[in-house]
Amino acid sequence: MKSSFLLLSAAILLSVTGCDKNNADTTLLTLSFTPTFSAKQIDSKEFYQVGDASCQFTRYTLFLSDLALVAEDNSEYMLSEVEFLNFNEDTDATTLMETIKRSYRVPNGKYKALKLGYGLKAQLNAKSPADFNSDHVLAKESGQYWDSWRSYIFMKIEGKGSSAAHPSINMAYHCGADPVYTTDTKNLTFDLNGTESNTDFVIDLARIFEENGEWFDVGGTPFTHSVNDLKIGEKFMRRLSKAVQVK
Amino acid sequence: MSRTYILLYWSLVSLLLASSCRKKETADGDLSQYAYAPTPYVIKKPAHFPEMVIPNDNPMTVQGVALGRMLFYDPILSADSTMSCSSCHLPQGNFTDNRPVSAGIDGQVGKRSSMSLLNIGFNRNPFFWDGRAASLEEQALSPVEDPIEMHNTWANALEDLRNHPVYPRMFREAFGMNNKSEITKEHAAKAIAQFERIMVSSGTSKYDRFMATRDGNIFDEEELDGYLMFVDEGQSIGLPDAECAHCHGGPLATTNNFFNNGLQAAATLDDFKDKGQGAVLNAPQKNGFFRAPSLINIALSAPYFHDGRASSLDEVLDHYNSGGKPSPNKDVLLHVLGLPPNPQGLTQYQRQALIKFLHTMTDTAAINNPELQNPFK
Repeated sequence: MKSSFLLLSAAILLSVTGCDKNNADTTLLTLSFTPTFSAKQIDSKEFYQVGDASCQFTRYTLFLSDLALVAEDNSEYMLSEVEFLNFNEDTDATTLMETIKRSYRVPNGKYKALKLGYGLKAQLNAKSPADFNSDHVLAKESGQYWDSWRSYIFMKIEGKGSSAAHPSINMAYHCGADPVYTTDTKNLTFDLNGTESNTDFVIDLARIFEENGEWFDVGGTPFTHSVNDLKIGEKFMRRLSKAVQVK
Repeated sequence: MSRTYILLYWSLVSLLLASSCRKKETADGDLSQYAYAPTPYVIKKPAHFPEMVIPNDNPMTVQGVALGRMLFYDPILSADSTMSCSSCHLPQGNFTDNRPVSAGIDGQVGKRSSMSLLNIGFNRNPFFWDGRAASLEEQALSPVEDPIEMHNTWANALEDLRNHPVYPRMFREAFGMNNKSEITKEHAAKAIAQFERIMVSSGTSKYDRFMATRDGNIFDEEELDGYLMFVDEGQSIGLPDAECAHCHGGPLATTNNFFNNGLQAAATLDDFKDKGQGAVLNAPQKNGFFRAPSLINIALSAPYFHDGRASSLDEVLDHYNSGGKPSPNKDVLLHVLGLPPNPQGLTQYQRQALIKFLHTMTDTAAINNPELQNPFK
């Protein structure tokens, strides 16, 4: 009886020590993403000046692929293969687009960069909602899938507004298809030592609609929902690397 | 209740009692004499559908489905034993009641139309038109005590179930409780949810066959034109975007997401008569939002919309063709349909083609599936 008690105690001690070691070896890293327009968190009731048009943003969604930390020895630690950021999942009384947080347990150490893909990498985009369990994000978000073009919609920006030339603008930019997938590397230092770590990103939609002082004409081209013309999709997805910045 | 119905009901009860080898629960409600050996139930689904996720705490079993089927069709859960789940979800109506809004046992009518249950097990978003139930099990609990539905209490319903000559054994076989006092409303809801999860498309409709094979020859020319407008892919041949698939795309013909589809005019976010999901979430931006229902068997599911205001698919098209009523959060994808030279709406041919395409989603094999029919008939 006495020896059983000692064995049990030893086992508990070992398991507790093991847990401590495990926690001590890793850090909970949280990345947050907030949609903004020129540094202001987007409020879907507010109007923002997009070139000569005054616009509200009512929907913003974005897929991310292959989020990975790059260690100092250039090895990579994969955080997530796919994330779906739906900034419209309102669960409160505000009209602000949500800040979305994703947390990952990461081995301690020094990392020098964060890699991420905007959209879905080709291997994932080759699949369809039927290839996943119904609670997988790529099945559940079937509204982000184009059946006819066999592609997910990587990013949706929707809203409405007006300009002098266009008194009523309904805008919907649905960007997808393999050619518009882009990757990005953020040179950031992550010194993870067991203490929870947070890095906050903004996604500045102004940077998507404006480049080198030239604004996209939302009144003239309020809509893209086709892979037949990828110009807008390519432009907007490429600009994400500038739009996504540490807060 | 008709004499035939009563006769059939008690015949079934007698049959089940006889098959129990004359075993009876003891007076104290002991059920342990009955075997508890649940058999896994494998859901049959078309290959192009996603895998259905089954909750860990409610695995599918033959016994659970059998019990759920009985409870779904048995009016025992209502206060006056006149109404069952099937009263509002009849197979021949694609598991709706084909009424604008449903009536409860006291003749009171609600404000929402009954939603189809076909393929409901694939939904990973909240349930009901307004998303007020987080799971199928939670959804199954609420009609029993709703005053405008079954207007019962679960205490009464459980008493009836525990004192029933057949149900305690079926609960034991499905869930393994040792005593009938252990039968809970959660067990009843789980069984009903299991039965609802087997309400799945047969995969035999034209739409299903097209989705599975991508063979455009499955459609005739008019249906194909309707499909191209449905998925916004016909502009190159002069067909306008009908913007349907944003909410109703994919093999399930729904995203199960919530939208303001322009049914209510509202000057401000507070002015919606029926706030829908916004009231559930206490999120004004979602006022006027309702779940996009599946369009599978839509031709059998009239009337349409959350309040049953449209009696035909033609009326539904009238609504979408107009771009909907104005409100601050109306979905931006709603707009007056049509391409030049008809920017003010779809042509008669385009309307006809869309409706004809919607009929390709008719799956009579699903609603006639013998496993889904009333076991008391």
